[in-house]
Amino acid sequence: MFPFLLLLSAVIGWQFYRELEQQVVDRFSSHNWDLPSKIYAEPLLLYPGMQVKEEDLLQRFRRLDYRPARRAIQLRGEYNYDQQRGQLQITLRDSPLPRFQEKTQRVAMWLQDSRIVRIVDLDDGLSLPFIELDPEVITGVYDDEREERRIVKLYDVPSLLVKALLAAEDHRFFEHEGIDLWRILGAIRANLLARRPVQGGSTLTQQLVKNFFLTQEKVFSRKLVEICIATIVEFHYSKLEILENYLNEIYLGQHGSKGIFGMWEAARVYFGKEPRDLTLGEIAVLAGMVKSPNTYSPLRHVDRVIHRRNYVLQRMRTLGDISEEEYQAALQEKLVPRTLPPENNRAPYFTDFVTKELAEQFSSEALATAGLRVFTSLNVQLQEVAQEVVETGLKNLEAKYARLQRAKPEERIQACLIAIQPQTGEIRAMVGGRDYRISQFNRAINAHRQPGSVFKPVVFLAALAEERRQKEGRFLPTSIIKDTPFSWSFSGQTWRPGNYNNKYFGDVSLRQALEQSLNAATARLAHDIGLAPILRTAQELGFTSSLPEYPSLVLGSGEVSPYEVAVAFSTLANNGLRVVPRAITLITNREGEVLSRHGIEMEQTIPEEEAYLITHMLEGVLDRGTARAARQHGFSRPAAGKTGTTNDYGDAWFVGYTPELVTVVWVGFDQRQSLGLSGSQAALPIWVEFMKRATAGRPVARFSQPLGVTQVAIDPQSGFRATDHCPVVVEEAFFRGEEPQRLCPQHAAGLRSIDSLSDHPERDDDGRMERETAPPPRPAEKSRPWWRIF
Amino acid sequence: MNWHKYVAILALCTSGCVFSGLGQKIFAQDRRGWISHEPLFEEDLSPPGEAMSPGEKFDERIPEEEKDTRSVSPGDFDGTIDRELSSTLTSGPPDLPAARTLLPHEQVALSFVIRGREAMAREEAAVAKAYFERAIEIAPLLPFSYYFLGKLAFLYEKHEQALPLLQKAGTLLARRNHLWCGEALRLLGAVYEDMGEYEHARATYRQSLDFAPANLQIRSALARLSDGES
Repeated sequence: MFPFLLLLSAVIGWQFYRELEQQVVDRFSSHNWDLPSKIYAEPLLLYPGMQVKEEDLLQRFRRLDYRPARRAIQLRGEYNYDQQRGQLQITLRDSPLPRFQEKTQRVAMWLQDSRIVRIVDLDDGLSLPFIELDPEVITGVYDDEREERRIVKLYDVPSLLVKALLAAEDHRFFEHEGIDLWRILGAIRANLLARRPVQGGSTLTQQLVKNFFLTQEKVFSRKLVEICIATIVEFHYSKLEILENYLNEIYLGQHGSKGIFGMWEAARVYFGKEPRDLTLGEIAVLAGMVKSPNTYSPLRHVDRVIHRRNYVLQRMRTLGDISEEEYQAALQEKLVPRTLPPENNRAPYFTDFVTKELAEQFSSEALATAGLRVFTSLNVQLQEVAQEVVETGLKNLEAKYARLQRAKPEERIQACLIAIQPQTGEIRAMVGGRDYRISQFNRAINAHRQPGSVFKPVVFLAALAEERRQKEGRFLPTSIIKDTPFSWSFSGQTWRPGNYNNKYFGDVSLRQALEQSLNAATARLAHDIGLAPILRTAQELGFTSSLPEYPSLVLGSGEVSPYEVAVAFSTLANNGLRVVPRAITLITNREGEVLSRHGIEMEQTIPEEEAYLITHMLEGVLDRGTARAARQHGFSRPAAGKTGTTNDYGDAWFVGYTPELVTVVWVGFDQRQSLGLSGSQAALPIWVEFMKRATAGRPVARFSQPLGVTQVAIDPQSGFRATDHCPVVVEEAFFRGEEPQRLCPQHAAGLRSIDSLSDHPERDDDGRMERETAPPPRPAEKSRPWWRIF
Repeated sequence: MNWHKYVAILALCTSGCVFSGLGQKIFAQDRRGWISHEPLFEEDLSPPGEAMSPGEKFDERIPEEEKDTRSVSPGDFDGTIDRELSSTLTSGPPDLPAARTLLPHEQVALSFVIRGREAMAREEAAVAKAYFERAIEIAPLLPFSYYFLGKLAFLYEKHEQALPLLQKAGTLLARRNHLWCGEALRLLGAVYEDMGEYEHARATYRQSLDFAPANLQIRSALARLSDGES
């Protein structure tokens, strides 16, 4: 009976072993580390001539976890700022972003009056045109385990770290076959003598197997399985493979809610370095932590850590891994607990937006474990400014208008801001609400509110493209329309749009109607051209919401999102080229191989001449119109914009743009209560503050006038060419060939010459633009009778 | 205790583990989900024939020389260059402006444009496109990025993409550099011509002649179109 039982057990045991072996080999070989995906902001480009404040730059280094060095910089991630000489030395880290620039490690940068004067490669002494700092991590995408890990190759790990680890944990690692009987016996003896568990008998292979395959349960059966698997692993894999896996797998404490796994991450968190840059003392600290990571955390228990470090150093010296001199020097190393950069996500609404976009391409499991690197267009500096101005702007409103205050946090007045670079569609900043902790609803993307007068430019743009019904030629900025009480019958109903304060101005030009946001004149214009062209123009600009086909649409009664408004005005700022907005620019896998690149996508949906004419008219909104307060508040750059206020004062908008940045601000209550404030009162101050800070230090740029447009000095009263006797002269943009030819009849005494090319240089900063002789004036394509011009 | 008894006891214990399902339970608690053979991504993003096989270890599958982190995914301009067309364009553009005549951020962008142009000459369209787009991101009002991106699109016969880019380049160049403006418009005319829109082509060539009256390419193009008309 016994031989039969023995045979049966042996057969079953063999079968079990085979299955176990198969599973272990399968899993070990096809193993993929779980790495959280990371969402990065745009990298900071530094170049000679760039304006940057020293403190901003140093703050950026701190956020990127660069370490200040008192001596000459040597290691990656160190910087040294000599304030007296204005010299900043940096050793750049390897960037996760596939870089365009050549590999540069150590650079020196000279700053003078908050401007970068020169950048030099310290290794070869050559001047550099620019350097790119590694992009900031906005946030990670974690699973429930919240494991933080970076994979390190064995050849990137200093041999001393391996030696220290073996000295502390398993010095016969290269001699045993997965199980160290001597170590087990030693542990049993030590535990018996101490009458409590004081020493473990596990080898590194067993520890790895336990972490890889098994639970932490302390039962004999698990130990047996662990031994079996350890021998299988040793049989199938080399010692170096096992060691590399161990270095990446080992748990080494906590950073907030995240677990730190692997030596690379531990070196980065505890010392701000990569493993290859660690000192001997730091190596000994990390090796010593394996025994009990949180007890020996260098962030907390310095005395305990030093004691444990010295023990590891002593073991290394005993084993002959280090010399006596190295040992003594390492003992002298000071251990100063680091202050870690804050973990908070500075763009929570933006990351929600990005994550939602990623979810269309990747499963949530892949995002949490695949270690994707998602590079975005977010400009961290602009984002911080955006959040600050929204918060301050709302507080100011509440302080100024007590009726806006609410007791419950979720009922307080809200605002959102979105900033887009019009030429690339890159979203530079996004604030979806006042406080993400209270409300995660992203108003910039998901709120659909009436835009009010912000919609009016769509009407005027449609008008510029349309022939007038009375065959008077197409509308121009100087075309006259009536601003008088007006009614519009539509589907058996009558709509009577009224002006603000019921004030009417009689005959006004299109420009005046837009600048002063006159409802009656706008409605009359819309009535003249019809709703269909307006709806078509709205779509061409980038509005995607379903807009109602009834008259009040023309004064902004159809609901749209701030995001749509930003896209539409980007089309205007970009000479009629509609771009697809982008938050994600590039996605790579954990090895840095590009998975997808989100390039610039653009389409000419509006003729550039018409887009420019509207922009030119909208410049007047800031210079003379409803947003002139922007100039009073000190925003002096060339800019165009439009205020928006809904009938019940429930929504206050301002959308404005410079040639390089479009920004939309909305202010209102989620409950749609009345603010009692106009767009220029509630939204404009936030916009102005944001744009002032966002454009500070950037060269002043003007809107590019298309070849098909010409500027002529006119008398705004008559709309004819200005003479020297006209009391008020403004420059008006016209379609080339359709500019007025006749002089102002009211003040006729000679032509005022305007050479728009010489009077309006592209830039007015330092006059370094290229100049060549102006081309000969082009004849008008065909002359038009005067009555067709106006 | 000799070795075969040790094996027998080990076998008994382990077979017991199997029968009791303990082994399964232990494995089932595996928090990393390695048991699962679900694909990493919902859709396989790796190129055909390059999916990770179960037997492969770590990163050994990727040869070092292929781990080029600067590699760029193929963009919109896949295919081959129309060589005949390319050769007609090479003699066209004037020299790029000296960096010192540009604003600081434009100088950086211009360095990207130059690299993109070099990549274009090597027929690395995706790399060139990435360089030009980066240049636009850095200095959105620098016209040369649009010109070369438009030229790249034209060379790869993406006319619809080339048109707005060249038009934008022309607009931006009109007040900065008339020779270059003429060149941008000439190329725009060439795009129209290639599309068979001869009226547009003629008008654009004429417009370009205003800026670059000495450009023989424009004159010959106009002559060619006039011949076609007659």
